[in-house]
Formats: sequence, C-alpha cells, structure tokens
Amino acid sequence: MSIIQPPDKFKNDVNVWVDEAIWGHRFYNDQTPWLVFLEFLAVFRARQLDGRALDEPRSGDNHEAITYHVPRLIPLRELIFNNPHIQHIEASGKPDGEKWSSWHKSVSSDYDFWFLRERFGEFSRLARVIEFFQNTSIEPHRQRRWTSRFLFPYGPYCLYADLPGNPSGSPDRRFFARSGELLYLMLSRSGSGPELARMITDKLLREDDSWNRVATALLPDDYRIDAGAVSSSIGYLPYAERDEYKALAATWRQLLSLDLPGSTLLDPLMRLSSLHMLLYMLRRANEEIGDPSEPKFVLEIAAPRKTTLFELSSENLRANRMLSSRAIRAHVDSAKTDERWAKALEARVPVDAVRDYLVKRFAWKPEDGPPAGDPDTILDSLRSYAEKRHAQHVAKVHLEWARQIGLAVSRRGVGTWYSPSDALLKALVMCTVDEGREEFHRFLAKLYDRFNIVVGAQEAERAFGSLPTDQYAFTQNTQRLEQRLRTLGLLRRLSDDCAYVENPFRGQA
Amino acid sequence: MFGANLQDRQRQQYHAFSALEAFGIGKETDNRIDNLLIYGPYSKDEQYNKLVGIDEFYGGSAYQQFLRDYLEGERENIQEFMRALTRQRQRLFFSLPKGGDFEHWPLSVYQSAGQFLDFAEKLGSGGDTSKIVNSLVRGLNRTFCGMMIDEGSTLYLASSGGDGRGRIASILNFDIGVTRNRRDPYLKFTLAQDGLTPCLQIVDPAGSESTIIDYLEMQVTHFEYLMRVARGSLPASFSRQCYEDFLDFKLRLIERLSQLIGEEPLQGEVSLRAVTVDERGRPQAENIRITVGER
Repeated sequence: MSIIQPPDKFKNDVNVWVDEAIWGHRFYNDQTPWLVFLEFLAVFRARQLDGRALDEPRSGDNHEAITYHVPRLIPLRELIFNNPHIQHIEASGKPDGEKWSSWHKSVSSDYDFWFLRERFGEFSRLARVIEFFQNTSIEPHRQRRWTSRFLFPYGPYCLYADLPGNPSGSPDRRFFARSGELLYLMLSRSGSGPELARMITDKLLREDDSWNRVATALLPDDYRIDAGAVSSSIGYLPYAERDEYKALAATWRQLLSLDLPGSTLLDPLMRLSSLHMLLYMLRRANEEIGDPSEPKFVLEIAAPRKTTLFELSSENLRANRMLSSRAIRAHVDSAKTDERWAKALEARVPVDAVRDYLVKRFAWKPEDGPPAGDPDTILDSLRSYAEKRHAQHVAKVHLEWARQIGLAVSRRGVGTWYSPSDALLKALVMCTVDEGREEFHRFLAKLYDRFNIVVGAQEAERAFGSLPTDQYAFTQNTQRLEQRLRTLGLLRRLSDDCAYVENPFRGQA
Repeated sequence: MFGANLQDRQRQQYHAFSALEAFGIGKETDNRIDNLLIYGPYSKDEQYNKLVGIDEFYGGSAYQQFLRDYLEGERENIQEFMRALTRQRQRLFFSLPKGGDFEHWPLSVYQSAGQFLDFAEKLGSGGDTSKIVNSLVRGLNRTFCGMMIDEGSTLYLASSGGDGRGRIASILNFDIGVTRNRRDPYLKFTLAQDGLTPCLQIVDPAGSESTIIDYLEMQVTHFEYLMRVARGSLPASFSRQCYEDFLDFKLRLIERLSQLIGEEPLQGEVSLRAVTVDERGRPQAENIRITVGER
C-alpha cells in the first residue's frame, strides 16, 4: 500500500500533521454521518457538472488536485429555514391577498419574494410546501444555525454549501469538515468510481424528482446558481488503494441496485458509509500501533436484563475508542526509528537538529515558541501536543458516529456499548442479503466478514481466537437478534426449523 | 398439546411448542366466553351445561372450587384460579362445536382466522369475497397513509417525503382500483402457488400477459393486522412487523409503478396531489400546481 504525499498547503494550514497523516484531512466530530453524506453528495454533484464524477485520475504519485464549486442557494434556504412567521400568518385566517402582503412585510431578505405568488397561486400552498420541506429536513431536532440546516436531498437543487452565520461569508468548515470529501476520494479510488457515478446519477440525484423541481420553484428566475459558489480544493486521503475502499464501493453498489426509490436508500447509505469509515479508522490505527489483529464490534442485542455480553461489548467499545490515541502516540514515536533521528543526534548541536527534524516532519508549529530541553523532552512535548489536539475532535469521532448510525448506545448510569438500532439492522440486511434470503447463521457470518460485527459464538471465536465468555450468552444473543429481526419483518422461520433472513427489496417478481 | 407439563426452558427448545404458543390460546380472553365460565354455573345457563358442565373430569368440576373462592372475594389463590381459567379456555378452543353460538377463533391471537380460512376457501372456489376485500383495502389505506381512511374500493399509495418512512403520508402517488380494469393497474386477491395462502397482487393489464407488478402473500398475521386496523384498533404485539412489511411493500410498489405508469414531468410546472381525509373518513385529493422556472 503506497502512501501519497500530502499537498504542502494542507500541512501549512495545521499546527501539527499527525491525525491527518494517519487518517487523512480530515475527520471531525461535529460532522455527523448525515453531514458526511450530504457533503459527499455536494462534491459529487459539483464534479458531475464538470463531467468528472468519481472519475479522478491522479498524475503519477501525486494526490488528486480537485477544485469543486458548491452553490449557496441562499433564497431557498431563507424561505425554508429562516422564515419564522409563515405558519403563523397562514393560520391567521386572513384573506389570501392579505396573507401574502403581511408575509412580505415579515421577511427581511435581500431577495424579492413576490414572484412566489405567481408560481404558487394561493398562500396556503406555499405554506404547505415550506412546511413539507421543514418536516423532512435532515436532523431537524438539532439546534444548528439556519445556514447549517439541510434539505432532504431529493435532487441536485437540494444540495448546497454549509455556511457560517453570515451566509455570504466564507465557510468555517465546522459541519462540512471534509469527511464527505474523504468519502468521495475513497469511492473514487475504489476502482468502481465511474460505475457508481452512473448509478448515483440514475438513482439518487434525479433532476426530474418532483421535490427537486419544487425546490427550484423557490429560487427567483434571475438567481444565478453559480454566482458566489463556494470553491474548495479537496482534502487529503493518504492511501492510493485499500481494501476498505473496495468494500465501501461494494456496499454502495449493492444498495443502489435494490428495487427501491433512491430517497429510501439515502438513510442506509449514510449509515453504512460511516460504518465503513469507522472500520477504516480502526484498521489504520492498528497499523500505526503495529497490531496485526482485526478490529471488531461486539453487539449486545438489547435484553431485558443485563447480560455478560453487555460487559464484553462495553469493554470492546472502550478499547476501540482508545485505539486512536494509541495510534497518535505510536505515530509520533515512530520518529525515533527513522534514520533522520539518529543523524540528528549525531549533529553538532543535536537539540537544534532534532527540533528541525520534528518540526519539518510533522509540520509542527509549536504554540509557545520553539521547545527547549533534550531531544527526548522535545519529542515528549510534541507527543503531548498531538494527543491534546487529537482528544479535542478526532478522538470523539468513533463514539459520535457509532451512536449516530445506530451502532452504539449510551445510557446515563449504565454506560456505553455496542447495540444496534432497528434502522441499522435493516440497512445491514438490505446490503448483506443478496439472493432474497439467507440462512440466519450464514447471515451472521457475513456480518462478520463484511463489517466485523460479532453477534454469535462462531464469530466471537473467529474474532477473539477463543470464546471470550460462555457460549450460552452468545446463543441467547443470537436468539434475541432472531426475535428482533422477526418483529422487523426481516426473518422467517420455516417449518423445517430453518430461520431465513429476508431482504424485502430483492428476489421478488 | 402445549407442553404445559414441561418447564419453560425445556419447552422453549421445541419449535412446535413455541409455534403453538404464538397462538396465545388460553391467554387471549373473550368477554362472552369468560362470562360463561365465571357466571355460567350460577345463572343456570343452558350453554354452560352443554359446553362446560357436561365434562365431569375436565369441565366445570375442575375449577369450581377456585371459582367459588373468587366470587366470594377470596383472592389468595387467584393465580391458581387464573391458571384454571386458562385451561378451560384451551379446552373450549378445541371442544366448541362448529356452527354453535360461540366461535373458537376469538380465543386465539388470530381473532379473524375464521374469516381468513373462509376468504382463502372462497378465493379458491370463486365465492363472493367483496366484503372482506373491502375491509382489507381499508386496512391497507390506513396503513399506507397514516390517516383514518374509510374507503375500501380504491387503494391509495401515498408517500411521506424524505426517506419515505414517516408515519403520515400525505402526498398521493397513485390510486388503484380493486376491480378488474382493462387499462389501468388494479388490485386483486388470488391464491398463492401453494393453493392455500391468499395473495395480494397488483396487476398491469397493459402488459403482455397481464403482468403482475408486485405481490404480497398474506400470512395470517398480515390478515389479522389489516382486519384489526380496518376495525379501528392497532394491536401492539404484531403491528410492528406487519407495519414494516406493508411499508416495504408500498415503497417497492411506488417505485415500480413510477417506472411503469409514472407521468412524464410537465415543462414549466410541477403537479402534486396532497391527500387529506374529510370528517366522514373519505380521502380527498387536492391538486397543487406550481409553476417552475426553467433551469
């Protein structure tokens, strides 16, 4: 696996290049899996317009140099997310004409919205459409600034940039923090980029989707979509090829070929993409540490009483969360095995030579001026600075994403452990069961093969080498999963006593 | 029969017992039958003598003593009394005479199982199924739209926007008749390949050999769910599974119908149909036309 050298400008932008060197530029905890997915779609759409969607050749050993442009669509967003009086005016019971005029008075915007009257006719229709978009928006329960609220991506005109409080300012990269760019790069380096791009274009970003077209009706005629678009150059992903990219692409291919409207595929795509990215992060961390073992997620299927699997699962989660910090330490410490370290120690002034070496290698810009002390002390201060920085954001990604995609739960006074939500289970079935149905135990084996998910005893043996706790606990765990899948309509036990997991969207008709 | 002589953990190992247990026979209560069991011995009820009293070993005499305590206000052996009642209900489930005043299916989870068998039989023999179809379609409409719709002659396929999994779906995609139609797709019930299970089909008459657009085999749980929803209740125990099954079916169906008969988008205009329910439970579709600038 070859590492691509990062573009210099990214290294110049950060205070120390450690997290980014290990995982890429960058993962960030404020960017939830939905926002990763939306950012990906925005990049995809921009590149699609340039005729290059997921088809991004690199020149030689260089990183892709991609600049993409994402529209701001401010009038559309003002109408939906910064339009507090509309429902109140709609409920006032005034005649239609009065509703229009009092609404116009209530709106403070650079845009003149009178054109909407001609398009919608009645005020109540506009109010209904706005309400519809609000109700179906992404993560509506989160209290984010209105410029960081997003429409459900019905089509290309529902995609736009994340913006700071002042919508004409330049983006602060808080919610579109480049993880979506990394997802884009992963898929584009998977070897199936163009094929996926065709499927995404056909299935997900359809111009003729009714709601996509309604969204365009909320933009003034003379509004130029490309005016003031946000231009960015794409983030950094270290490895040119990895198995995780291929596994990710396989998941996308499987979901996109299901017999379902594109809109219902977004939720499973969002969850499983982040799951693949979590696995990528764990594997990269193991590589830095030099641990050859495979990562794993031991799931406790919700039980009425505390089970031994609960302990195992929370221990497993704790270890996975710690892994990234261990990787940071290992990465910094690897500086000492480099011959440049040995050379620096032999220099005339070793302290200066070591400092120069570390500053250069890690693009380190010490906050309190150049560090002093002997070479090991300098390395210590670099390490603790990198750890501190890691702890602020990247270290939090694992738990945040695991919870958001329904892989883990936290309960006050109980703890945090891996336990799947219904939506995640459904997504897993949709993507894992190809032939319409799959025997239950083979399904469990596939979950481990593809996502390193451990539910039953056999997979536990494969993951741990030997059974970490008594077999009965795992048997009960699988029985609970069977029961759960049955109530979700995803499993049937036939008269020959074989249980089959069924993918409701495949193998019929 | 139910493995009551075994301990719970032993019993759970046998699939046959857990399958039978799922019918809830003995646990499910029916007011009329419980009245008969409790007050029958004292009201000189003829039915009681015929159905319960007549059996000297396992009938009335098997629980009389608990019943007397219970009626006199003694609550010490209440658990024992409940178990005795359960046994009596189980006995009645198997011993009620066919065509008598009491039906035995209400003593199980599947209260409509009688209708289910009747329905399947009529589908096979070509009898009149219109009443049951009407109830089933009403149940489907309520499930698909999340509204209290009282309409059983047209199937309404509506979506909720977003990822399509919202409970309330108010944007109407398609409405499909339940009578055979030469031009438009319609819904019909028939028997599945096994010749036993009713099967819901959406048929496209325009296709070469009356193509089946999609189908759903009606398990007894599906049938029970729709009948109960049509009557206005939402049983918690199996509603989840059935709801998911029907929702998946709806999403799949909307996708296929859109490919098949979806209208080409009009230039410069979007036309949507919003569906609401009037006070008499009839769905009302309102056309919303929006002018769209060209992009």
